[in-house]
Amino acid sequence: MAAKSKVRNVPEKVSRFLEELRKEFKDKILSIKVLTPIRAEVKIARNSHKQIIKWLRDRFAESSYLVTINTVDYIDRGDFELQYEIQLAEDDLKLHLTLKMDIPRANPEVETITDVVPGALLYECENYEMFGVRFIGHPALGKVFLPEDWPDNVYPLRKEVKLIKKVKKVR
Amino acid sequence: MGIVQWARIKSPWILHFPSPGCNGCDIEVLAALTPRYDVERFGILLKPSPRHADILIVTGAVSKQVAKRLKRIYEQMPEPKFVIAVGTCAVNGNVFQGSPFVYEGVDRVIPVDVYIPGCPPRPEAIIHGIVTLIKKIKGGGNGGKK
Amino acid sequence: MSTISLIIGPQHPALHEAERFLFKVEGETVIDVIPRIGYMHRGIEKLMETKTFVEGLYLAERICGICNVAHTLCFAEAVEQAADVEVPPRAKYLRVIAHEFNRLHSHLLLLGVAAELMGFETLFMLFWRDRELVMSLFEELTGNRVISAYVRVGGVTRDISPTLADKIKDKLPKLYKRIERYKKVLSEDPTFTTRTIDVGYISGSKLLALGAVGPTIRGSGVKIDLRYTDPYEVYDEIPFNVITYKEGDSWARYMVRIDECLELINIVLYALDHLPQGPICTKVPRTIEGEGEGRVEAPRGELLHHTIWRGGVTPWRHRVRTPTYANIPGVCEMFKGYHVADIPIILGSIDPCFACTDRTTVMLLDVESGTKKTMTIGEIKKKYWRR
Repeated sequence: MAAKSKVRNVPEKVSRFLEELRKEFKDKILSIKVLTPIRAEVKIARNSHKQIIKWLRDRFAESSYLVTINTVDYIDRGDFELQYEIQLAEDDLKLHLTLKMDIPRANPEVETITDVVPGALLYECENYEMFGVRFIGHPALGKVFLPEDWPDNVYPLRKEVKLIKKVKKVR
Repeated sequence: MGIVQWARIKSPWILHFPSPGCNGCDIEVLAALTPRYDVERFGILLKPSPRHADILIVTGAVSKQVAKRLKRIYEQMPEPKFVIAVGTCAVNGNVFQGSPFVYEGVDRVIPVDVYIPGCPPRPEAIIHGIVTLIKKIKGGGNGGKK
Repeated sequence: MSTISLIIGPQHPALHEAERFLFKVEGETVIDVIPRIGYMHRGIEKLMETKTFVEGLYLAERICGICNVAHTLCFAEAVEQAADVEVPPRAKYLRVIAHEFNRLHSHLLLLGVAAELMGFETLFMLFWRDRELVMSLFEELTGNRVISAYVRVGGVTRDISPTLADKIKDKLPKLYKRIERYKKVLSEDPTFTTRTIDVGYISGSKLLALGAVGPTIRGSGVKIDLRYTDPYEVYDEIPFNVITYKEGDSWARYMVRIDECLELINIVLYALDHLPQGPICTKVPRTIEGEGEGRVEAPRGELLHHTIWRGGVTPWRHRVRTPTYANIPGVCEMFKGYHVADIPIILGSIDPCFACTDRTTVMLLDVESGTKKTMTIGEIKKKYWRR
């Protein structure tokens, strides 16, 4: 299909950069999938996110930023998938990287990246309160979105938490 | 009609409380105040403080977080006070029905006098709603105390 | 000097993400800011998991009514990517036209509110009068003034008629001249310049570290605009300039917006001239398996919808990251070192969906001299309720 055929003409600079990333971190990078000429998905080993993000931020200090941190609850696999989305915005190297990292659902603990990227402060708080992912070393892990009287150990976006009421249809 | 009642009809001042809707209604309330619709010709002024307001305009669905504040603002308004629920979210929750964080309608929190449906209602509809309320006051309505 | 805590909000005109800001103030100068967002939390990401993409589109639209086309466009892009559907070219051009109209009305809205914040009522009314012209054209194009439901998954809902295209081509150049006039006012009038120049300065590299997006970061000279860095729809075919200002103060952020208004009128006119023929919508399968990411440049900055479908008619996870959310850490840095009177103007300069004319409600707490003390709303209530 048309959307998939785009992948063929990946700019040389992008493929060279991805090769470099693979060489730099070797076994920490499990797989790289190029989705479009400007988007790539990188599966990384557990607890290597901080290193990679630091390297990216140091290399592209003037042209990269953290877009967001996202968690996906794969309850059937027993994993949380953490996604760090980073945009590189140089004039000749535009790439949107999604770093995906699996963490066990039973003990969701990862290192914070707030000391590398201060912009991650709110995103980490959000993932903590919605999924219960604990970010070790975060300066102020607390409630951001939920009401003040929300119970402490209920993480609304986890799959086992059923919150949505059935809406009565009025005709 | 006493003189107080007469004055009340001539210049109802409104307080706009944007509760968590999508802003669509908020900008339409604001558009009603600007040159094309110009609601000020009815003596209606927007006031920033609840102490000066007669009418509370609530737009958007009321979240659990904001409900306490809404109640408090309502209590701060001097008597008699009137509430207009603008937009479907304020009337019954709209697409947010079923969410655990949202009340289905403003009337679950504070008494409402006039409902203006629409997503968002046009400025004309908002003006019509305010005029309806003024008629209601003329008929001797007294806010939440019915 | 003693420190006073100043609470702004939550009954606060910053609309779609109403925050409560707790300012620590020494004399007149802000030294620290603690934001508390979440008053507007409606559980949309959880709700989205129970909705099909047809229903979800309407929910996505109601995340923000001001930039509703950006949200629907972004949602549709994400779902199309997950379902691997290609949209017909005419629909792409129509989406761009609606998207730019949306941006135009949003920018004019903000600039009007900004003028109002500094007490320049005349300019506020002028901006809003011209905005009504955009609104009526937008209504003719999409069918509604604000929430339009124009973009749908797989295309758009309505075609544009040749008469309407001619009308837009006739009206927009007139609006262009008026906006040029307002630009002159914004860059020369002392009412505006004295309140904004050198207020709320922040450097580009600091904003990058804090993850700010949109006109906020372009006002500090960083060339990041998704229409350019990650072209979606047909932005790679349309010539346009990315507006950046080097100054990094509130004035620059407002000027970015007014220059963008001029630029986007050119984009709309170009898109109308190069509108291809053909269908405006394609079919999308009901059950989807895949992952898609829509990113568009909303009026306030980069917007992201990330959707993950694992078969079935509802998404497994739908993630939304709105631009104002990304800009909050940045704006907290901007406040530091400036005066209390500058707070609304700095906050307005990131465009936190200010749409209401009433100002920030300020509660000043008296604090025993010399001691730092902060209070929550509940504490204030207990202490001051009976007065």
